[in-house]
Amino acid sequence: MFDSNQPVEQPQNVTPAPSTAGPNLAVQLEHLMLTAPLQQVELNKNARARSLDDKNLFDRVDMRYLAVAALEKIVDHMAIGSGILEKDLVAYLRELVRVQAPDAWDNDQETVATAILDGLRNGGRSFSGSFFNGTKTVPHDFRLILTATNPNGELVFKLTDKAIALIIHALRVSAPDHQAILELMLKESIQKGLLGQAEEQARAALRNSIRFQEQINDMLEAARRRVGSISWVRDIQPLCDQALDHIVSTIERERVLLDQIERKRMDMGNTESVATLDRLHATIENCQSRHSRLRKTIHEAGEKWRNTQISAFRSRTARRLPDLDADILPRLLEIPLEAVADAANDITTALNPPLIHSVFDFGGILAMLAEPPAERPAEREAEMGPERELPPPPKRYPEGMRAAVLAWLEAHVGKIPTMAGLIEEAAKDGKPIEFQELVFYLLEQAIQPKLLPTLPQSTDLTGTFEASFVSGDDITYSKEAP
Amino acid sequence: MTRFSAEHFRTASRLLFWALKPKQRPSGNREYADLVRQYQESALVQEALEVLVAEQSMVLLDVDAADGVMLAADRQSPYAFTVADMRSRAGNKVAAVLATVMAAIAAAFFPTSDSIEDDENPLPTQRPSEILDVLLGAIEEKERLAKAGELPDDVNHIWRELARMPAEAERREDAKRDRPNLSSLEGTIFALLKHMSDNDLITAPDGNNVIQARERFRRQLKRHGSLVLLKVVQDSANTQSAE
Repeated sequence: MFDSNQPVEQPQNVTPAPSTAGPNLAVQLEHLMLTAPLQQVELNKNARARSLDDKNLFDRVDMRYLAVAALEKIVDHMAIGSGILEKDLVAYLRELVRVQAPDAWDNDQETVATAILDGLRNGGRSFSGSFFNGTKTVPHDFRLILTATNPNGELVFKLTDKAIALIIHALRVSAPDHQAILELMLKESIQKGLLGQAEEQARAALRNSIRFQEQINDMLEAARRRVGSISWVRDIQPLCDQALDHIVSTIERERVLLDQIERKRMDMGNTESVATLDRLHATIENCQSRHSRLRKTIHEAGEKWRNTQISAFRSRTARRLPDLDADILPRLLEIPLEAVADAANDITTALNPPLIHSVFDFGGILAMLAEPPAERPAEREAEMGPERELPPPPKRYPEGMRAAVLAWLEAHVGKIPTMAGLIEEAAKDGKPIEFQELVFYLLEQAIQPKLLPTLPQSTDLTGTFEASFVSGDDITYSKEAP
Repeated sequence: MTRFSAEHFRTASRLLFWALKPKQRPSGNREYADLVRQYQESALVQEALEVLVAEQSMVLLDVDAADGVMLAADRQSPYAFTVADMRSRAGNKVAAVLATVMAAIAAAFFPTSDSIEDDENPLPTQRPSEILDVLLGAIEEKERLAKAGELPDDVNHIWRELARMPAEAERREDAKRDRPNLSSLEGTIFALLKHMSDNDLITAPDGNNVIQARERFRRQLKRHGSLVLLKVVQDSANTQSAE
């Protein structure tokens, strides 16, 4: 708990951040400035030309390419020894000049190679510059190449830490190359006793080994998924061989590093340094075991992939189905929309199991009912027997009743004005119910002839009863005026 | 001469009864399991079932103790699953899109003939996003060919209709957001996956949104679906070349 009465100890020598400070971009700007010498050798190449011929030669050569190649070459030699002899580096650069300018003379090749070395070495002086780090402008002096003597006493070129940082960060090397460079820096740091720096480099090497492992696993997984469409020998085997070469050399470098750390540990009296070396040892061991596992994975990958491929092709039948992804789908997409719509039900039916339709298809039923029967009379006759004439419907009213009703109506219409009265009168006269019905129909027919089609078919209503009428709830009839 | 008894046809008819309920399996239904056993033991039941199935314009894909009777229907069958069973009153455009996306789903699960034909291959899994990637990849390839002048501009190919649709479904915060919406490719894929899950062709998505094809789906493609798709593309090619 803070006691407000106690004075708070103020940190010493801390400059308060100015309120107008921008973002700190020191690391980015440092890396950017490291590329300046590579750009300058290209931009200033014509200044090195002493004659028109020289100018023509420099115009045909990409100096940036040669500068980067020179840095890579020095790194390679640092990994296997202590550096590269000047004559070896010049010979290498001359070869590369010849690639770009095959007709260049030997002394011209040497002119370009020397120009590259001068540009990268800056005559043994530091490159000087400055950049704004967000709060202030700071100077930034660096060298890319330094000279040292090898165990034979010969003068060799080596890269500075800055140049190695340039290769790793600004020039984006591959994971295996990055690993080699990191372990190279690590070796140098341990030799110089810069254990804090070595520990940071070891952690970077471990992160990079994880990145490399992921890249390899991704590549193998992609190969497994496309087992039918890639060639192991053409597409994957070279990458695996390359990765294995890197891994074998990496494991060897890590073994050397571990030996170096163990020797250093025996010489150390400082407990803190011993602890740092132990952590370094553990980190490098972690890298080494990761690379060993990766080597095993790559060794087994070819066999596994071949087994997958064998199983994929094992049951090849004489009539193979088409590939849906590579064959059918692309061709289907090129069909006009209307044609796909026409085939939509075929496709849907083919890709789904049968279905019991739970709802009646009324449209289908109506269409079926509306469809005429099959035009196969012979078959139908054999099945159903010959078609027979339907018997005429029985007559509902006895023969002559219509005439009797008409006569009866002639006698009564006018005397009895309404339909109800006429039917009542017929009942009083003892006429049967059929007679009364016929009275009703004939009176209805008299006023509404179109009712006829709706009358029972068996009703014999030939002939009409002529009448005039007065409208009302109960129809009033009168004889038609002559 | 083969002598069928009424009992053979009764067994075959009951097998057909259960076959038309794809979610039913012999493992969960004693009668069904017994019927499958009778089928496997009796050539007459096998023949009777084949007759019954063929007369309903269907194809007998396979019968086994795990998945039971697996059938496919011809277009003429009264049991045919059609576009109208997914979307009543679907117009030409919707029907064509549904059929094409369904074919793309099949291609995503079973891209190669080997994956369909080899029964020993493990049943494949897919995520809806991976199926969408397959479809988008195929459409992008057509767009590239069209830009290179290798596809005619004046024909409304189905890929153009798909390319006009938004890839992803509109994300909505309301309760309707889970309802399949056919206005996007993603929504159409979701709607079809739901139907296919209901028809027991695929599993429902697990917690990681991974869906596994069922054996029924593979058999459907192996014995019937692939051949119909091949016929559709061949017929179309013949029509276009005749024109």
